Amino acid sequence: MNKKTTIWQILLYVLIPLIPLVVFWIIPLIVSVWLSFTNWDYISPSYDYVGISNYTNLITDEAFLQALGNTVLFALATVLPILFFGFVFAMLLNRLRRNVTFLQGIMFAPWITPMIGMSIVWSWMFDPQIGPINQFLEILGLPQPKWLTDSDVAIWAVIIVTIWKNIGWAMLFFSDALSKIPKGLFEVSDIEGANWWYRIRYVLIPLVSPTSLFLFIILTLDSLQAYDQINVLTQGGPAGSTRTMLYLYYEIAFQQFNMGAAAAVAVLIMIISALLAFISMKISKKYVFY
Amino acid sequence: MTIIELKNISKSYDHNSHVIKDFNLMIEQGEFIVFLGPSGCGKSTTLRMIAGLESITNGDLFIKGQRQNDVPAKNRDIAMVFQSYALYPHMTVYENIGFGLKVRKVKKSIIKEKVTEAAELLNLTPTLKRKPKDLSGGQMQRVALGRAIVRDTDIFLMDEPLSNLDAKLRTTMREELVQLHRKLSATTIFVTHDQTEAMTMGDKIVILDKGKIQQIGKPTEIYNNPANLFVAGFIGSPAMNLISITKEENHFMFARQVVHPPEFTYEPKELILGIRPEDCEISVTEGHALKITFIEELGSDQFVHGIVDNQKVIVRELPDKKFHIGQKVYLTINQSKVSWFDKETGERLRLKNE
Repeated sequence: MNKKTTIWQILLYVLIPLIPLVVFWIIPLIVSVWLSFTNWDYISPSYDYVGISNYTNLITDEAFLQALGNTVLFALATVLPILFFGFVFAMLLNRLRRNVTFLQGIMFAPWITPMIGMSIVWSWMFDPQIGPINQFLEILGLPQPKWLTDSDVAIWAVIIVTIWKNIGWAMLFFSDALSKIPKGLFEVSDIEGANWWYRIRYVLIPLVSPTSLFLFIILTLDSLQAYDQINVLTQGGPAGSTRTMLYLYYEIAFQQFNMGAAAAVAVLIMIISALLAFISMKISKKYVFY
Repeated sequence: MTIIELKNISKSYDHNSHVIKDFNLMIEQGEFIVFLGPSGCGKSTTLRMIAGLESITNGDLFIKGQRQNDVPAKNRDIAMVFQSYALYPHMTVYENIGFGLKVRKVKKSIIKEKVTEAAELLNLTPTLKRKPKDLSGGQMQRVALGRAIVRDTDIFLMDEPLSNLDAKLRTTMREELVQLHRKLSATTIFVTHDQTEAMTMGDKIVILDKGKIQQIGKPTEIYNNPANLFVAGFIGSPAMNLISITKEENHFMFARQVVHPPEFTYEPKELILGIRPEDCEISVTEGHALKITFIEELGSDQFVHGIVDNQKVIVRELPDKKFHIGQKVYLTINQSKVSWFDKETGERLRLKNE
């Protein structure tokens, strides 16, 4: 093969996949950054440059700070339980030592079901009077919160739905990682006399750490993008208690038609995402074994 | 003192066919026992039953007089070296060697002392901070060994620990293992399919085939007096020549000559004569007619393949004798070295006056 054609081939192979990336990602990104310095209202053809006032307004805006706090709470309270339960279920299934495809399929089902549909079912489940959750709590004699209308509880309802949806997905990745650990490594811990906690702490967790890191990053980014379940269950309410940054973006952009401020929120979300991914990669160098 | 006793041990996975059947063996303190057999003969399974990694279907396993059938692996206080080494990839050499001690909550200072000592013994000191992926095969093998040594147990189980090494390293490690055994004098059970390892390392060899013990004995005993046709064909490279002797009207015949076998404890119908390649010779004047079909020259000696009476034989000859393919010569057999087998049962025939 001669060199000239290879250069052309490389250009061909790189440029063509690059087109959609440029059209749908890079250009909108640049436009968003540019818009965030304007006061465009999404409809009128005119706009003014406002400098960084969109950003300074946001940082002092209580609604934004509340959304930021909600986002952090939402991310922490979904990602960590998903990783924990995903790992525990994968371990339990792994211990069954028989064909668990059917069980895995059932646990994976929530992930392939559209979030919108599941959220509608969950909003019935959470109904304070007729919902099965509160009826069950009543049988146990526990307090029955007004799940979706109490501003202290609503975010936990959204968190529960999100955790439930993603556990099966995380479990599938952990199952795969566990099944790839050579049997001999477990036999050594048997012979050497390791108890179950030791096996988990010093053998299992380090050996699945690449999977944990991958899931951590993906789930964190996913939690920053949560929208469907919030829209169906609470619409960001009550009193903004379930309004995350992305939901705030949606409200500012398409309800208040303040595209400049919305673009600033979007840019901040992107910076936070990039920062989180970067930090996880850095931390992982020490704790993740490849 | 008997340290390990296997009494009528059987293993089956489906209650019909047995992987191991009626395994009986006494192992004395400090012995180096080798389980030898072709792959699939059940030698690893037996070892894993002793370790507690496989359940025992029937029979009793005693270690130091205590029945172990229901004792979990971690309470048997046995050290084991795996064929795959089974080193933890996320731990350094130091952590891998010290793993068993750390698990048993031994003091850090004692762990350090023992790991350092073991590393010195195994020439691993410069590698202590490395991870397994940065080690050579021989080093990984020694780390696996180190993990067993620091445990201070008196029973070592080794499941084909040398089979992943290249030929030269294997020879070195063979010697090192024997030296180590002498130093530690721990009872060792070593599983292998390599007869050279078995012959050179074992105090005693247990030969297995199809889940049954074929013969137990010292290496030379097994070599000189194989108990049956399987052992005769399995031990020795090249293997023992096994020549069928037919019976014609009350006479045993071989290559149209009458053979006079010694008197056995019973009269077999058909005989097999076993003779090692080094116990026969090629003559140009007398013996059984032999046609040379192939010559293997190894430098130190040569193996002459030929056909006598439609049966293949191999003769070990001095390297300076010159033969050529197709040459017609004669085969002479050293009668005092012959092993006789009953063709029907495959068992070694015992002499009446033995």
